Amino acid sequence: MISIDRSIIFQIINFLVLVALLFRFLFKPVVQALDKRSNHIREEMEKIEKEKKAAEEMRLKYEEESKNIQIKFQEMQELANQEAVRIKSKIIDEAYQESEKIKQTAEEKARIEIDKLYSELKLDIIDISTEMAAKLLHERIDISKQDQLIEQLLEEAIGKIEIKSDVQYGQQQ
Amino acid sequence: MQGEILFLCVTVFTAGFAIAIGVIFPALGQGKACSKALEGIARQPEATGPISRTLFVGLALLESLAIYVLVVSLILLFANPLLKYVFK
Amino acid sequence: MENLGPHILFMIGPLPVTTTVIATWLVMGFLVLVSILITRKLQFLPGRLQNLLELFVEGIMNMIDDMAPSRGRIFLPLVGTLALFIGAANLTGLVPGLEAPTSDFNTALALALIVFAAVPYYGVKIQGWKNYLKTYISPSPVMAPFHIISEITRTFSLALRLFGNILGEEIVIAILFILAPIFVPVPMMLFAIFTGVIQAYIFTILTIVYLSAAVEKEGET
Repeated sequence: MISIDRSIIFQIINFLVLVALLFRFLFKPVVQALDKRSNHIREEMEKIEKEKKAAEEMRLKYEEESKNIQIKFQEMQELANQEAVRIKSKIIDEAYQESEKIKQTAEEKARIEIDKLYSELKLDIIDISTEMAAKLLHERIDISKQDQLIEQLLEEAIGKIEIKSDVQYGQQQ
Repeated sequence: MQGEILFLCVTVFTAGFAIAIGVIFPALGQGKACSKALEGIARQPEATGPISRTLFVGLALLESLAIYVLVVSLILLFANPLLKYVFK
Repeated sequence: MENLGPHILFMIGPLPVTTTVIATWLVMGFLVLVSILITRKLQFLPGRLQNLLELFVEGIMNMIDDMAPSRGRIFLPLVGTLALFIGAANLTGLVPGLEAPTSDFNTALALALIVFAAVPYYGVKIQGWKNYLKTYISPSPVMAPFHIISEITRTFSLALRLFGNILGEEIVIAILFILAPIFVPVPMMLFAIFTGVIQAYIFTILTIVYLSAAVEKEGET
């Protein structure tokens, strides 16, 4: 049962042949396949890493760009705001000046009107006084009538003046 | 004939006794190694791989002692080289 | 018990062809055939069998890398073949009509002798003559005989361990078979599967330890 005979030589040769055969048919191709796969995986990983980096860069770029755009937009908005404020104040100024001018012209017109009215009134008074004188002269005879007439004339004149000034003033208003 | 029978009796007794004695001490050693390894694993579970690999190697080396005894007793029982001198 | 153990069937020249040799040839044929079948159409995405094979090869490579990280890869064919052959041979004993080739002391000793020869072979190949011979007198020249004795004894212990385990298992199964042929040997046969695989693993890892001790600079076992 436990004996060493010459079949040990057979076994040694058998085993060496088996090593050679398995090296040829098993270990070489499997190791090659494993290496190939690990290389492939590594390459893929590198590629993915690279793409990731590129995407990250792109994202940063876009972010920066959008930030720039926003800044520009804000600047433009501000500019527009300033412009608008400027235009607004300008318009207001202009309107104010315009109104001022209109007011001045209106005042001037009114003064001129008043002046004109005064001169007319003067003329009217002169007219009335001349008429009064003429009528006084005409109706001297009757003193009683004279007083009556003067009073009548005066009333007439005052009414006329009042009416005229009323009318003038209303127009002015 | 008496001497030959005595020889056979002694051979068989020695073989059995050798197994009995030769199994005790490797078993004790293996038990000790196992318990220590388990303690180590319990203390450091992350070292399970190296510990169990070393344990296997150590157990194999210990077990080879018992195997030597087995081989000796097998030789005594089945392939005793002295037998041909006793039975001419 | 008489028919346990190898018989000489016929002779090729001076060499006897025993039942063990026939069983070895069967195991070899089986292994080579299977590996050809699997590696003939290696796919990029492995199928089930290819995956198993790759798992095995990667496991062996990891074991080697743990022990001899720098230059251990050249052991792979020898170590992997040892593991495959011993595993398959141990399990052959469970096939009816066949005996495990490793339960013949000749086979076990042949394997151990190959390891014994491989240690200086790889040591010289990787380190060169001078550096390899220096490992024998590494602490002091006094240690040289002990190194040589340890190499010889560990060879025999490798052979005896494998042989004794497998033969013991077979004897136990045979005795149980003689006592009660049905069902009783089955648990023992299941245990024999376990033992066979464990013994293949131990032989492999001890081989790796011995080889890496010869290849890596620091210390001997």
